[in-house]
Amino acid sequence: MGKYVVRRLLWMLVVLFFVSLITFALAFAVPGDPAKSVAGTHATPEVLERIRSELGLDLPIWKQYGLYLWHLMHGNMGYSYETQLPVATAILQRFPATLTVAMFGVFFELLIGIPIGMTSALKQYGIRDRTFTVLSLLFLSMPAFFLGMILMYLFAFKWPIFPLGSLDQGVIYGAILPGLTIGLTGAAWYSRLLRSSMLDILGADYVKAARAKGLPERTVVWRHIMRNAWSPIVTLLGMDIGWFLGGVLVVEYVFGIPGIGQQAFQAIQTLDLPLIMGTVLFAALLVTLSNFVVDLAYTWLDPRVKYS
Amino acid sequence: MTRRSHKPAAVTAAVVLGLALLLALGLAACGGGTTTESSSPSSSDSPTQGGTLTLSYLTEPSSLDPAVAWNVIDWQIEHDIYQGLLQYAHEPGAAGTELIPCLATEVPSAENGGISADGTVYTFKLREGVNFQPPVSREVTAADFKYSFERMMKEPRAPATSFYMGVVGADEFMKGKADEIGGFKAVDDYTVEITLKSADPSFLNAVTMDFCDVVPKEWVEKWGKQFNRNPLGTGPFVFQEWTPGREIVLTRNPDYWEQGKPYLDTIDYQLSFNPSTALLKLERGEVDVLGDGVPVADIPRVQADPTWKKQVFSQPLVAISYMFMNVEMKPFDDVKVRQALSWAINRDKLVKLQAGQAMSLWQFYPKGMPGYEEGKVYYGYDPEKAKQLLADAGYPDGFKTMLYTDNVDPNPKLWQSVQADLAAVGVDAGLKTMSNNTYYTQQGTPNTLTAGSFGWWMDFPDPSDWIAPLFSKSSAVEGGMNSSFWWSPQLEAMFAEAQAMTDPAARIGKFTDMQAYISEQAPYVPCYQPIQTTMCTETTGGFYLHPVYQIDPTQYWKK
Repeated sequence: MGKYVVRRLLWMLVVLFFVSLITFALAFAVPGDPAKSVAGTHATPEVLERIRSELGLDLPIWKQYGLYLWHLMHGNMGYSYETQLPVATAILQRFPATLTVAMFGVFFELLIGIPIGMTSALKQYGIRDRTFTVLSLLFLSMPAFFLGMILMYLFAFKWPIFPLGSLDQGVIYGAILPGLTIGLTGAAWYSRLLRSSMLDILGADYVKAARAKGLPERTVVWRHIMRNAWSPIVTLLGMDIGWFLGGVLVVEYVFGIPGIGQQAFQAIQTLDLPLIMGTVLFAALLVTLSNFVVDLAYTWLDPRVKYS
Repeated sequence: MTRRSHKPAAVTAAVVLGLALLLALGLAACGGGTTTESSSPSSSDSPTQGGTLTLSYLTEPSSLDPAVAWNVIDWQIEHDIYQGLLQYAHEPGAAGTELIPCLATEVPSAENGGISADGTVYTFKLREGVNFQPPVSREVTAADFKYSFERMMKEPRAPATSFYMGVVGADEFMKGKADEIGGFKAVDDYTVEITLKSADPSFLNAVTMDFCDVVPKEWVEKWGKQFNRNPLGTGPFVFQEWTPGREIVLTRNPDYWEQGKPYLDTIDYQLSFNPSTALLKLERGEVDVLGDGVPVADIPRVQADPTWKKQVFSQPLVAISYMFMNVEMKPFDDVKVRQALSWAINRDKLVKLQAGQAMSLWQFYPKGMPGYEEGKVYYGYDPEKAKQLLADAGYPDGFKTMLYTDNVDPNPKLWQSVQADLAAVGVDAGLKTMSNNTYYTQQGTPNTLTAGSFGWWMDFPDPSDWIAPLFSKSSAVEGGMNSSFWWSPQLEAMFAEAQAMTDPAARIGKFTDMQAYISEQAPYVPCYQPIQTTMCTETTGGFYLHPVYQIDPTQYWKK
């Protein structure tokens, strides 16, 4: 098991290296000039050249990448072109807001999605199942932007139950609506996934055997069906958490959450390379970490899974 | 065994109908007007002291270091904190483009001897007893202005040094051959003397830009790289705190030199709110002023709403949108083709597509820029004439080309309209959009983009700010802003002549002549001038829009 952990961590480093390489290459493949964002659109060509030089953009690309990796290995993620803040500081300052919204999102999608999925599977084609099917389709097709604006308009403006965006008036209070925006769409995913996962199992022999044995339905459901139905949910959860922590831009934009999503979006608009690299690497780290945690969780959830 | 419902279809249908009804109710609630209370007529129009003004912006400033910052939001906040020798009169409209003294006692001119007879020496007498804000709290002297100017010129990331290369000694200083700028002298504690290589009538405007604001040396040296997050100047508001992505708070300067000002105790900049959310917050009173303006889709509603229409303010921005035509790429190298296309674009349609938040532009200077000819229409909208002129130029069946624009709203939809206008006269143009930054870079690369959208806004209200960056030889190079890459020796001569003129009225007349000449050569087709519309709450006193500063909280109060 210990060897497994070490191997996984090493692979993580390999993945992160390739992510950095690809991102760097892509950033330079885009025909834009980061110096232009610092210099402004009114700068003369001479001023532009001077600023390019100052930012180190006149060096060959491989040299720039080498310098970047060198600094990275010493714990220095560079400085934002726009604000000159250290990238690590810029990201860590904004991360708590994204983390809060992401956690609420995950909480809601599980809280709403799991029970709905279970009911839908256990009472297939009943009225509840059909209602939830329609609702799932509705929330799956609704763009997050639209859903977020409706929730905010109804529950923060028309009926002032929640604050109009931002986390200033109480973190929990402010994170509920953005969390719900992510959560309702996510719940649609989870409920459908759990439903189909459970339906696969409901027809299995060991379930029939358990019922034939006379076990109470509750025990059949939890000990036999659910314990086997969890795995796709947990896999998706691992990806989801990593994904959300990278910053859900649309939700941050609608609700005015000062998270890393909005910051990354601005960085892309202005080609703020150090900040783009930093955010991508940070998100990649979170995704690979959460996948790793999920894989470890399997050993607990499913005794048949062992890693060597 | 799962049970099957006997009437699955009917049940599903009932459920769907029920949900549709709920959604419709929800949407109807959105579409309805907001509940409003009738507003009591404002009792007093005289300023009251105290209170907090809250403004909402989407993006936060990248820097509050005057030497480096060039974004609109950067400047808006800098205006509260920093000051320079001169300022613009705090009035809306054309009156707001007049220069008045700030930290200098008067505006230098030929009459008062502040400008030498040959126009090369500018002398500024400083106000005495002006202190830097606490905690620096010491008097500002001419040496501080020299320090601030040289610091700005030496700063590698400073974007505006080109405006000041005309100062004697700037060249040597920038090349590292001198350790000071000889032409910028602190003659004594309260006299600043600036010598230029040659007369430049727009120099007073250039020196009024934020880049020349005075900063305290000891504070800059204390903070080093962090100075851009810890601004300190002589202005009416002191920087208090900056929570990244959330808010910037300024408080009243207890030591401010102007009696009775400012009125407000606190200015609170709320960040990261998109314009639609900001509007909702304003309607609930959580925000006083919309820094990014009213979203276009909401403008008709608020203008019709009896409670809000008095709080909606508009001004034409001294900015333009053109179609550039790269004269180094066929067939735009033919002036007849360019002239033909100058008749082809339907500006009124473009204005309609922006819900009236723009003005059609038929000349190169926008309204508000000296040199603008009221009511003048160069060319016009006449697709038949365009087709005819194209036939005369040798393109009776039109031609194929590519149109470019960036992906910032509303450009994609506006340029689809232009594309359609071109098709109507026989020009088969494809349309390509790309990100902002990419577009700026490509525009400045020779032989890359054939024709497309171009936008420009003023640095200061003087026509030299239009001619030099957009129509001159020095700008028709890689990295320049002359997207048509057009220039002409005749215009260069006219420009040099204008810059040497000392009579302001005659000089502006010359710039108007230049416009006539440029129109004849038609390197661009002017399309429209944007209109800025924003809103404030009832309790915001003294609100107005300034032609240069746009939003001017140093003059507002809380009722």
